[in-house]
Amino acid sequence: MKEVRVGLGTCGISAGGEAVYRELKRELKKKKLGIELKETGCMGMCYEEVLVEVLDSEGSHLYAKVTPDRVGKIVDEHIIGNKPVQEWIVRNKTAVDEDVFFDRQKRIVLRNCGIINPASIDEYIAHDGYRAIQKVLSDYSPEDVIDMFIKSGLRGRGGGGFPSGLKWKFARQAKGDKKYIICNADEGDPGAFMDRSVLEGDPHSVLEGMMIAAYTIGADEAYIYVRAEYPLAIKRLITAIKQCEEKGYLGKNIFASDKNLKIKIKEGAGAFVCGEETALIASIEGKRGVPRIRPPFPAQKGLWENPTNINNVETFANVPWIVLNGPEAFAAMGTEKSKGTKVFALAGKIARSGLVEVPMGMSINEIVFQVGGGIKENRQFKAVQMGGPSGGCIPADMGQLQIDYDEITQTGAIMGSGGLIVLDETTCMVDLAKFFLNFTQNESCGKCTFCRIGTKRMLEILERITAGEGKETDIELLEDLAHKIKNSSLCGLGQTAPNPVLTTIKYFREEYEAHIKEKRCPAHNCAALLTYHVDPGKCTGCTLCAKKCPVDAISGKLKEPHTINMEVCIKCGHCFDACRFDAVEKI
Amino acid sequence: MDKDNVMKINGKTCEFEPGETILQVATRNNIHIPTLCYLKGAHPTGACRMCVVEVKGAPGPIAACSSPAAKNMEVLTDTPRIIDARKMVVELLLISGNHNCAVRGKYPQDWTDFQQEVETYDRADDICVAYGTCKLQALAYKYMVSERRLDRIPTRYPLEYDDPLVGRDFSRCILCGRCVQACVDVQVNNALSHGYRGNIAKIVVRGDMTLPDSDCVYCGECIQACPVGSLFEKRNRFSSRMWDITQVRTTCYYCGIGCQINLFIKENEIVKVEGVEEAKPNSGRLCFKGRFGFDFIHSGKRLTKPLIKKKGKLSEASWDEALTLIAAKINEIKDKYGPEALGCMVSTKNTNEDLFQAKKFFNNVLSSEQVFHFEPAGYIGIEYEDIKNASTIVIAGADLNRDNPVAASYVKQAVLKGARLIVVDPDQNELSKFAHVRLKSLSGLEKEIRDGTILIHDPDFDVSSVNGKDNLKIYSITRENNTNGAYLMGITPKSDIDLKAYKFIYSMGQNIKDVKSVDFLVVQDVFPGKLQEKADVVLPAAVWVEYDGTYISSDYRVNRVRKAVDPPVEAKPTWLIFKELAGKMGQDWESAREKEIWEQEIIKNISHLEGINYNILAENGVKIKEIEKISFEKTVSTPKGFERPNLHKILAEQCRDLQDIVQKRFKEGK
Repeated sequence: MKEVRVGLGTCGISAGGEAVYRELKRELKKKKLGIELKETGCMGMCYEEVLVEVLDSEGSHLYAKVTPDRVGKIVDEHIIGNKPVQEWIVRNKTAVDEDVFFDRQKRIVLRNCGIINPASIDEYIAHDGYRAIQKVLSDYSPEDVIDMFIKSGLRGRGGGGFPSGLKWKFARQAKGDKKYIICNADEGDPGAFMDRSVLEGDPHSVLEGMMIAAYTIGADEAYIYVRAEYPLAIKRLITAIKQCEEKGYLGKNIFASDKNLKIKIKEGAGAFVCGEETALIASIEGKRGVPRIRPPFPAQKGLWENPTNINNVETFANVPWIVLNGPEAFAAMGTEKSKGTKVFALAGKIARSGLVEVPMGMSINEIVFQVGGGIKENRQFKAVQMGGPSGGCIPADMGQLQIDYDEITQTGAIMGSGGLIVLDETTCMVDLAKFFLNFTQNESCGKCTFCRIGTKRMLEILERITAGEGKETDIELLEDLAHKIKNSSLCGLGQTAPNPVLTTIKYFREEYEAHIKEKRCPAHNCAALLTYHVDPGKCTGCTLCAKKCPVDAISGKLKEPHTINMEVCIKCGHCFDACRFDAVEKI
Repeated sequence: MDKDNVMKINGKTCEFEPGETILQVATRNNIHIPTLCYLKGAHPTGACRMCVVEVKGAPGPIAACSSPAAKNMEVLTDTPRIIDARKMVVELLLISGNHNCAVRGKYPQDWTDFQQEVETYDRADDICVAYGTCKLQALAYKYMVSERRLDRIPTRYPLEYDDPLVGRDFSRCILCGRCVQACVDVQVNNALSHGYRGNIAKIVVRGDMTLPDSDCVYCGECIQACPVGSLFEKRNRFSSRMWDITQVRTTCYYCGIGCQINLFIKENEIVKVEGVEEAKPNSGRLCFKGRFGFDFIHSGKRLTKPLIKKKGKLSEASWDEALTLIAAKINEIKDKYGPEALGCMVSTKNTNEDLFQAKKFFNNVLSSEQVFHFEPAGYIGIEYEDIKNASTIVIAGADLNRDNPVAASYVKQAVLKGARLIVVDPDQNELSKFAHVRLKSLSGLEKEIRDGTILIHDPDFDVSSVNGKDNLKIYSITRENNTNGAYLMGITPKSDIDLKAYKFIYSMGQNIKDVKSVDFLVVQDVFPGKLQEKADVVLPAAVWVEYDGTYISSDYRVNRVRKAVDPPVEAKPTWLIFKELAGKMGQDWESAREKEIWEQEIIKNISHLEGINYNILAENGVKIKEIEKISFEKTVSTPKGFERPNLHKILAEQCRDLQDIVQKRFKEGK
């Protein structure tokens, strides 16, 4: 019996997955094949979307970059004719070259993503779903669960890395009749989409994790704070919660026990700072989403002053697996202090961008070169940026570094929630720092002095450096501001905002100096510091660059080398992109 | 010493109470930690980062205002690292606006341009309104932040100057949020809030409108809270500087709460009023009336000279002439009708000294017992600030938001802290917005009463049906500032009165509709009024800021009032008028000053006040002794034909006028 799956996470949909799905449905219906067509969440290979997986007696065949006009051939040759269309397949038993993308991964959080239909609770149940919560309800006391999670070594996957078992213990011990569980799904780092993919692909695993946590701390009400920019994730959650309520998994006397649990969805309104737990709580309460000082920590006084436990999506998704497989199995993976796996959203100059889950302890080089397939266009690996606007850069020569909370923190970057942006030699590190700082200063709530004014000032300094107007004292001034903002800001947003600047100064100081002293951008990225030039030896006089130039700065006769008038040039780079002979150079 | 509650600050061993912050412990131990955003009485926000200190074991500096003290904690308040961080706070704030007062930066060439730019923005040649009292300026001076390494941020939001009372200068706002706390946490008026975010953050009203279009009730708490020159009263903006001003501590004149205020005096004029931060009952807070309602004092319409009716018309006369005439008439009427035909209707806005003299005059000089008023007494048996800790509060007919806004603020704070609020007779009562239960009458109240329930009723609201319940404390606030004082001076109310019995009436502004049967009418007042047309003599009285004295508030606290300005032309304090009148009647009273009346006569004769001399009252008020033994009449109704004193109406009108000016929405009927 064959089965056809189409990856319809946001990545699949934006690549045209819905049209492929419709076409498949039409074809299968037309040809009366009676084959099950299933929509699943993200399969991880976002760089190969649209993905269609065909399961037959041989196993799985994953078709990449499927378009509606390829559907007919796949149906005719593979589904009817039993002959897989090998040239479009990226992964099956015989297509070895892409195997390493999946084989080096260990999928716990993503165990069901791309495999089950996220809109079907029965499929989740068929994949061991809701067994963990039932086991917990019948066999374990809350204290047992706490012990189990302390033993598992699971740490908060939102970025902080606080031991989850310990966090639950505090919330359990906090005095109060009313307690809350909150799932932080306010994923805001630019380039990060781990939580979205999990919610879209396997919402029930998150709900089950929340149920277990609620039982453990003694909560009967829970919130999922999810950003409104994730409509599909919200839709999937609404469906999943409704299904649970119908089955008696949520509501009163869940799973026929004496426990009650209600899970509500709260849509965020787009503020990055609302990912900070106290701001998130304020936002759920209907207040302005601004962080407040801790202590008291949410475990003591959280939502509406009641003890509250907040974990992020990925943390919750780990929970049922740990219950079913045991803490030892989880703790067997990873390093001494970082156990289990970590989901990363690979982005940037990497060959295979997408969603991956790797065991802790894997090196950055392994992720970049094996799982990620190396750098695009065979350029030079320069650095990775981890942790988004709160994180920092780790240079290529530290590529042996293991994925481990503490080791990464030592570099000045942070593990973060899983954004991993790969940079090559065309990335200007000053410009990169500027990008992230621009993000944080825009997203600062404006409450505390350091973050509100300090980040803006740092941004201005970076702006003038990249514009070629940097001053000799600027690096020193940046460092002074950065250290004080980091030390004395009110919340995590401000305390980590300088990280992108500090790490790039630490590892790429010479790039800053080149901008300031030599008025030169080594990565040929900062427009103000570069000029375009046509290499007469390479130019064939095809005139394409001149045609693309929006300001007519390029002159030259057909089949003769062209020249660029730098007085007119606005450095838009169109000529550079247009030239097929690498004749246009940035200097 | 409980070893659990000991910590070290700068090496000094300090005890602390659980829940106290590092800042509170330090302050109590005279260790100074600078602050900007910290507002006493509100939840600390930790926004400005000025109060950072070093705590042993903590990874970075932490904010003292918001961090709880802990056992064996070791705090250092002034390490080089901390000073450095504070300097940067000041530096960042200085470049964030028009803080042109601060120490010069290092680029002399830009000074002129900069200043000119600021002046254009200001529409003023003068410098910042807070110069000399600005906390940021003081910190810039203290930490010698003079280097301007960073460019100044251009001002984003223009000066808001279209409100008649309050100006908002966003170029000087440091976003400390104290105004928002004052509005939301302290006064609970919820007009101000934080708007926008990041470096374009702004303090806004109603989704960023202007003050006149907002929910602002003009309590002015925000202005008092502003540590810089961002919020200011327009009327004193360019008229006075800090160093021109003398401050006089006194007691508010409006209602029976007895708020402690500081009058800012320049050249014999009140230019500003502030609440006294550390004093009971109001802990710094004031209402619209108390803060802005002092225009009447300097009004040109004041009565300034005695008037005598000659040929049916009132014309100016000398004090001697007026008092001689009154004395003669008194003798004449007393001889003809007996002493009980001589009556005095006092205003309980007067000081104890005034009232005592009036009573003494009638009792001792004229042998008449007919000294009275029409005001019910009030009784607040707890400290106002303890209201906010109450668990259940009943408001019966008392429109505290309108009549006693400072008391209303404590009630609203209690609601914020989780108290249950029951409003009886809720129509028109703005506190109903905060109520959990609204009742038409007291009949449904029984089931709402819990242990320790507080009921505050309007003096006119009959609460006899719930009187005497064990778990219910019944309180009320007097309408006038010194009604309880009048009772203690032995002047009690009269609720049934036969006007025909009086042939001589001395009215302190009390309006009487029908005076045909009165042979001789003396009206003492501050402003012209209806009754004066029928008077035989009109005497101009001084008001409370024009002489010394004492008031007794609803919580039975004796508070001082002090002379701050001179009375206009020939207006005289009431106590002095009676002393001079007694002289005309052949009695020479010894006490020649308010202090002497109080100390030589009043506190020696009234046992509850024993020992409470002016010295003891030098700063804060003192609660009178054996309050619980005092039982005054709590419900009195004004008899037919009498109205509340003229001045009361004038004050109410003044406040209404002010409110009309500042609040367009009243005019628009919103």
